[in-house]
Amino acid sequence: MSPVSHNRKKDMETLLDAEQIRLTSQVRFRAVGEEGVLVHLENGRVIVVNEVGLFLVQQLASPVTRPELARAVTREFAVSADRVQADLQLYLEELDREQVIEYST
Amino acid sequence: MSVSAERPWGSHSLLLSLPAVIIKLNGLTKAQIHSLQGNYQRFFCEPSPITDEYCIECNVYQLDREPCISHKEVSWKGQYAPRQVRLGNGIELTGINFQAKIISPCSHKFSSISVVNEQDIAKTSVIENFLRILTAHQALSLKGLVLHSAGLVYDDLAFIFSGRSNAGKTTLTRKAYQHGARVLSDDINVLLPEGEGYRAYAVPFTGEFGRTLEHQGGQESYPVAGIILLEQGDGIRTEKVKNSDAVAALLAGCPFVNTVAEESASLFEAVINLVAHHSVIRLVSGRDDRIDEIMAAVKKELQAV
Repeated sequence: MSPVSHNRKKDMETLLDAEQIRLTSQVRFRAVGEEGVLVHLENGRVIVVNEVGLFLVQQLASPVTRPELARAVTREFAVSADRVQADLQLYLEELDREQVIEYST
Repeated sequence: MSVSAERPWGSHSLLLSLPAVIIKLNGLTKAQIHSLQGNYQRFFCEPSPITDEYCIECNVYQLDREPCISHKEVSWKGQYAPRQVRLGNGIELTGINFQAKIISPCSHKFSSISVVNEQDIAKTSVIENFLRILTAHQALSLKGLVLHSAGLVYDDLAFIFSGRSNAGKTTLTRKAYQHGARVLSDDINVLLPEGEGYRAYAVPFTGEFGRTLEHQGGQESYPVAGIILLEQGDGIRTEKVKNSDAVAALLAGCPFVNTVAEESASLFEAVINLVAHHSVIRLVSGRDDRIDEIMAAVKKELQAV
């Protein structure tokens, strides 16, 4: 990898880390047992998330950055930071596809 | 709202006793009352101190012209659905051929409904939509629900089959009716809490099955035996449903209020409470499956839960 593209990647990561993520104002949720149920008021979709998903959604009720979210998951579920990074990215992508979260800088 | 002057059609009133609401329609003509008799006669009631205290007054007005609204604004997932706009102290409804308001200035509610043509008030696209939406909001205020479902009564117990459009509710209803079940509705049912559980109430709202109207009216009700999530498939299969999946499925089946932000907390509370008090199972069955076999499987699964 060239030094330039390496720097770009670092810049992108810094930007992504600074991004704040939160539930959109159109989403409501409740814990049901250990899982969560989310309703999207705009499109009427209802989705169920597992225990980890519920924890994330609860964190995302207020704006939070990706590193803050990762640290919270690491603490809560006692898993390695590397594992959390990968899983968190996948989970956020899924929530993004469902139009449940929004990003801001 | 484009009601230039609030002109009633006539001077007559009519009381309708629905499960979650008693509504007094004011400003009707005799012809309008006659037309409303067709679908709602069993829900007519006489004035009494109770109806005077609890009824929602609804003035019926003349509308100068049809509401200026596009079909896109009054459709939801491919089906006609009047537009709901939240006002400071109530809701404004606009359909293709009517406008209405439901206002709660304090604990008491008032409403109005306006139509262009005298006989429009009795059209199901007008009065039934208005009453369905009013009932959905009122049921929530009583910690109950209006659920997209078929309500079938066997041995004085209500089996509530919830499913999306084309899940087979009307087909199941037809088979059950021919087999001797009482039909509350093949489309919309009202569930209200009572004691340790919920009761299902007869409503004048119906789908393709039509009105059998052999039930007595808005106060006829039955204890809920269980909630059955209906799906089409090959052969008869039943299974218990996780509480989270049950809550999600039932939320999706609560029309008119499940996309209203202001009702979201009440709706979650009501659905979670319903699931806490009644068994929820999934039924997969085919068009040709026999109703007696379906009900045997349903009762067995509900007992096992």
